[in-house]
Amino acid sequence: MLKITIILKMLIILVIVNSVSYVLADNNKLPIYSGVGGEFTAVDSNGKDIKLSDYKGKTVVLAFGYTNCADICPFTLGYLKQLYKTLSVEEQKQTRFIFVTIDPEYDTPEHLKAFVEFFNKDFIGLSGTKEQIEFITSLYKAEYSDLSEGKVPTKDIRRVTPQKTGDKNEKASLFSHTVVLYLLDKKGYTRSLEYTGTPKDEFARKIRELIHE
Amino acid sequence: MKYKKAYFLSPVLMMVLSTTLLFAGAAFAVPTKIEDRTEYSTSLNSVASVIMNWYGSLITSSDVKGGDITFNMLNVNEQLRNYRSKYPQNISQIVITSTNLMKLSESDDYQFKVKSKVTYKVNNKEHTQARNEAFVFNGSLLTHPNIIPIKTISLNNMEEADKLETNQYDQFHYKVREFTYAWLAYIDGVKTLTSTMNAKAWLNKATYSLKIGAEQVEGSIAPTLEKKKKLLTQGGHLLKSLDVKKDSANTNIFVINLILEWKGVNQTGKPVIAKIHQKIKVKVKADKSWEVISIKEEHLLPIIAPWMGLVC
Repeated sequence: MLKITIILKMLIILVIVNSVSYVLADNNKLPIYSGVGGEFTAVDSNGKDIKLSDYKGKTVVLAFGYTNCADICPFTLGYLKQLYKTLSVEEQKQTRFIFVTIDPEYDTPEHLKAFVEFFNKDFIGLSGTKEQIEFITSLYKAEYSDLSEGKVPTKDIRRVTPQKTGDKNEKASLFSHTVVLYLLDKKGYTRSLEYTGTPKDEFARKIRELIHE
Repeated sequence: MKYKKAYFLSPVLMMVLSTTLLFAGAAFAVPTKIEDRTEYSTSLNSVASVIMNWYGSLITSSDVKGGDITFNMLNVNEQLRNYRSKYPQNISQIVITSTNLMKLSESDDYQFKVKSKVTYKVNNKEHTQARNEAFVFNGSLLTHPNIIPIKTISLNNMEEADKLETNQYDQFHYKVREFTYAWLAYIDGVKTLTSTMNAKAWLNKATYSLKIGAEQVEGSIAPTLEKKKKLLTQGGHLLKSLDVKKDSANTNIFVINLILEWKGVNQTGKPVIAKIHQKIKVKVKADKSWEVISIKEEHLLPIIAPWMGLVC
């Protein structure tokens, strides 16, 4: 009789604990950042016109930068490469890592493709017209500004991939830009704002949370 | 032996149970927490609007700018009328230094504690008085327009204080905030402070444009608020900063820039956070009454960590 009572008590506790952790987990959900992001159009690294909603159903990590960025962009993509590796193959299939150029004039889809694929072949580069990029950065409130008064020779820029052309006189602009990494859920809502200082395990946990939502 | 085992187990069970109860308490608090946010913001904004009226109307010195601003006198009882005489005469400014809102457990009423510094003149000599007051607000303030909002005021402490090195806390300061808090209460569903906002003059005329990411809505206030409610369904607005600028082209028009924080849930019950910029254009009419011309609202990127300001 005593055994039955204990088992019953244990069962009740299990039910309570389970329901409690469900409610707590629900309360700890990543919030939607209202007004950060939204539907946009761009051109992907294969030259194909895309919409953000084309990635509906996938969790998205979105970064902004440009291929002539000497320091932070290669560092960020290196971080994202490591982050991608922490995900299982199935989780990788459910996620898209997208790098949006802020210099569409220089970063053609083809050039962007070489840059992002240097880090991971699954990474997607997005370019487009100046207006398209300005619209995307305005949606995400992604700050950037042209640093160079006139353009600088690209041969002088430290880089991980070759210049766009072999021309020694090739020039491009230098930019300062946001370091924010945007984590988007399967509906395209921004659910977390991260940076390369976020421990990769913590970032991966958030990606998984959105995959399993 | 069986008894001993059960005896050994029971403290463990008790521990788990007490932990469970603790969590259960937290879990129980979860659904009410969102409601708390709504109640907190609506009660705070409503109470703050009335408080701004109270303190603004105490500033009577004729030698301060904004001396021509009038406050619609609050609906007050005899105790409050008598209490006004406990303030000094010729007040030129009041600085509220701290506040604390609490719900009174034995009723639906709210207690609002206010610490302030009051500057006034006696025989052309300036004095400053530090006051610690507790207001009890009628909880029906949020639902009934014609009640006396302040039930009681008690003076907990009053003493001479050092002179204030500012002169910006005048009638206009309080008038703008009286309006702003009433407006915030209104957009969260409190309809009892519309006369404070002189809403009859503009509520159906003013334009309200809303930009939330790629979504853009523009129209009159009621339908725009309805559309906003679909995205920000249950929660509340809190004022984070306020700035007023005169329109450069028109001396009788000014612009109130508000930065607000909204927290709550959307239609599907998902938590939502918003950092909101509202730009409210107001015209001061010949009779000194206010008329809102337009409201522009945009949702910004919330700064959740210091590194977010970094650009590389």
